[in-house]
Amino acid sequence: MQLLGLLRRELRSECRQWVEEGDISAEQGNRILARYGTSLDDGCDGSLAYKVLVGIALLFVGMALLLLVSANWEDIPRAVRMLGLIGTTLALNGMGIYQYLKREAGLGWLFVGSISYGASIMLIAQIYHLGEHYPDGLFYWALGIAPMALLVRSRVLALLMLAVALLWLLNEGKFSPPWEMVLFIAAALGVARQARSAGLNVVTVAVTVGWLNILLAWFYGYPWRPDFDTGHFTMNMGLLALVFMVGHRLAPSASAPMRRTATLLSLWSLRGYLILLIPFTFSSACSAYMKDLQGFSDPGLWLGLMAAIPAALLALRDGGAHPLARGLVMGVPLLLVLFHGMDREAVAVPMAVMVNLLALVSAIVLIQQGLEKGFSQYFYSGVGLLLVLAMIRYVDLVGDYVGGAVMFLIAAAILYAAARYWRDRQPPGQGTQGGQRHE
Amino acid sequence: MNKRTLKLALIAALGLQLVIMAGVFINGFYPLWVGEEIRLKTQPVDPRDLFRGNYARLNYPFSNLEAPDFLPGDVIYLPLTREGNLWTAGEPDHHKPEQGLFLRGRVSSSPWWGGSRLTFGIEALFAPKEKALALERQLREEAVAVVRVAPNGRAALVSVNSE
Repeated sequence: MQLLGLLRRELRSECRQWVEEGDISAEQGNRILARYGTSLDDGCDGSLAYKVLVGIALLFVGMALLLLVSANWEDIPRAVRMLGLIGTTLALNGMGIYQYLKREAGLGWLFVGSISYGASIMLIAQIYHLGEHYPDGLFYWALGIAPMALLVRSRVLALLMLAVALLWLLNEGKFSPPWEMVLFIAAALGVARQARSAGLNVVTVAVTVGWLNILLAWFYGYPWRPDFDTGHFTMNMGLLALVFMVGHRLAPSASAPMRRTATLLSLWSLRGYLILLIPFTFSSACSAYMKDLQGFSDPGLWLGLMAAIPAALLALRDGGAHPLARGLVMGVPLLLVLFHGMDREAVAVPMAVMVNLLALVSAIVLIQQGLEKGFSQYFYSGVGLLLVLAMIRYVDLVGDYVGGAVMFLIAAAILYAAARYWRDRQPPGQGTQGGQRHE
Repeated sequence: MNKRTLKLALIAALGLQLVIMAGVFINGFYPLWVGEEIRLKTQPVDPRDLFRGNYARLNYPFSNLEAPDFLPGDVIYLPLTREGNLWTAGEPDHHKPEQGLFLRGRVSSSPWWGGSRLTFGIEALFAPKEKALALERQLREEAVAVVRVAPNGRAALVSVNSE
């Protein structure tokens, strides 16, 4: 986990101050920063505010264009309206291309040009009353941006393409299985690779997970409509395991953007795991889940296994991950098969008890790892999980008041043991003053 | 990629945008250009769309599909028959009628509430908000859509009037 790599700007600023104050030499500063894919001379800081403000201004220009289209300019002849916007699109993109070829600039022109291009499609649809299948317009919009984003390796254009493609996915997904989304996912990954963007990689993975969920909904409801079913939980358990292990697999990469991608994937899959655990701490949720599963014929099971089995193989070979995480990931395929093959009603309560215990153990491991390795994200995730569990159990007592009291005592004992463990590990003199390292 | 190839590729990418815009235009304009004008009974409903401005959605007597042997995404053909000033539609079919005027459309499912609909590209009339709302009020009971139908069954909406 290279959590500091996500705060490069702050790290750079701190390092510059250390160098200025003589705490470290410039060479040492550069060596430290090189571990996170940056350097003391990295000039991104000064221009960030400018880029953000110009980016927002350009977005507003694009939104103004969209609103002008939406206003139905009845007083302007059809042909003038259409040729005007098409001409604007060509001029904006032409200027962007000219500037890009001349001095690798002009992405702002291309960004507004891409919005103008989408507005042109909508205007033509408006003029000729084309409304039989509105997601098509969004598809053509995203399709037109994709090659431009790839050629100029622009993260902003790729994000615009993904945003439009996501809108298309959500709309087209109501009418038919949106297979074509694979084009936009591939294009976004291509840009992320060329532009060395960890953020774009992670956004693309998130969009891919959403896409797979809609495809699974179509497996259930084909050919009439997408149906969301309990098998979605099964598939997402497998996907979470795979994303987590891919994150671990990429962590030792020599490339800094790849390491940042790995960190973000591990962090978000961990958060996803914790969020997924919470509903299953209720026996009613376990019972509903087990009751609605479709046995071994459930496509959610097979898609879940397609993700969980490679994840388990990765866990088998990866000695770097924590034993609990490895054990859990290796156990996911078996768990999924067991869930789908068991006598449903009978295992709901034992399952809820197991999930509660697993959540407690996970919280302990996160706190322990957070303290041992100095990862504040782990530490606070563990504490947060314990507090959420305590709150849930306070509202929804396990069995009776005594059960709830026992749960609170266990949580209190864990917190106290963690606090003692932390104090005992501090060097002499720092026992009560030293702090958790914040990253 | 060298600069010359990049230049050509960027021009091709811009060309792709132009081709797509032209395709959308031709798709909408083609029936207006070559089509035969017909009048269909319709009813405007639901006049709002966030992306394309305000519009009145038009419902036709043949918009709802009751035949169970059509799946969402299927291409269907609807034969048209003239009855006085208006045209009426026959039963939908998978096969193109050998003679006469017909509409070419698609079956689309109504995702969240079940059932299927037929769409022909003549279901939206774009207008300013006030006009769309007024149209909906004026034409709520009886309205006639003026449509041009190309020989291949593709249709384009010209206007909506009171009967």
